[in-house]
Amino acid sequence: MATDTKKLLNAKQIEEAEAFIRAQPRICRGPLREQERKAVAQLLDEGRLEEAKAMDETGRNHPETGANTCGADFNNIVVAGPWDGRQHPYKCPRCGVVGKYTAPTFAAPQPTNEGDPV
Amino acid sequence: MSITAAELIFFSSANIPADDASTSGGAISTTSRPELTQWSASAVAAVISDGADTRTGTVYGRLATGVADSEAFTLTGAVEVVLAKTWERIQRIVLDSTSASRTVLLKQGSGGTTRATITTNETTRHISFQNSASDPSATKARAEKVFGKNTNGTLSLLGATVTLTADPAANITIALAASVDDSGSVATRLTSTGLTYSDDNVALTVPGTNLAAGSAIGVWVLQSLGIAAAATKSTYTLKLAGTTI
Repeated sequence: MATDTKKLLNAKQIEEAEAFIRAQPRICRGPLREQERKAVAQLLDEGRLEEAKAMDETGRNHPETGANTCGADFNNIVVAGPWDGRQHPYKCPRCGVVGKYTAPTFAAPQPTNEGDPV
Repeated sequence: MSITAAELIFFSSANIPADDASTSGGAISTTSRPELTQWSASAVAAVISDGADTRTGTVYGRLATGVADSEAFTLTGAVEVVLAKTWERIQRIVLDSTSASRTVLLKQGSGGTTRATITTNETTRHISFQNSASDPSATKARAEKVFGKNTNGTLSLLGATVTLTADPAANITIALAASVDDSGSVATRLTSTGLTYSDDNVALTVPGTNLAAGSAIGVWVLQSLGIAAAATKSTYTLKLAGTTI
């Protein structure tokens, strides 16, 4: 069982760790339509990488809703979850896309011997 | 003149391990790229340059039996060199030196489909996660590092993002280094980087937002294999994007 390092940190350290996570903006792209997902896989099998990349973009456009990405802040999921270095499933609260991510880990600073003579 | 897509290139890091004991990551290696389209069927390898060229090199891969092997070659200019061994897959091709003027192609079979192109001033093309297998009793997570570089001479890539645009096997996630042009590494590819890895549904913004001319962002690629996962031969693609004047 991996340790949730969040539980090893004090409030100040958690605040700093959250700031570290949010310093790297991560934005949900929204779901890739199933038809395009299959097409991307086919293009990759054929070695047509640039076309696969383009298909991955267009397949996330959703003209029926007027949106071309979800835009939700994925860091909210990371901050709320455990910081145990393990892989976790997630579901975007805005668009509902499901996926997986690997949580960060943070080393708790070693305790200092406050009060010791200097 | 604007930045072109061709100027946004993914290079390898200095340490691309072929086992679970070697260092993974480090600084950018601008002579090597993780670009090698896999064989569609077992075949011999053929190599050819585009002009006078007598450089030597080596192809690494797996034979039809599954055994890892290698085969050395010497280029004969623009005349194709057909190697002897039949490969089930190619893991990497390495030239022993660079050339400022010559481009070398690796082909699947004599006169076959080009599977890798080694451009001027470079030596290596390789796959990721060479010789990585699942474990019967534990998940295996391996991290290797590549770099997305803006090779334009003057312009910054504005609002630069990195995305994992395809992962058919659904076992890849990515994370960015904390700063551009970093040289961080881990002891082995099994060593945790402590970073947050996300899948192909998430776009990652490059630290500092813009990627300056000549700068590169390290991208850690994490392969997670479940317990006793079946053998696969898959691919993934990364995309470095942004805007330009």
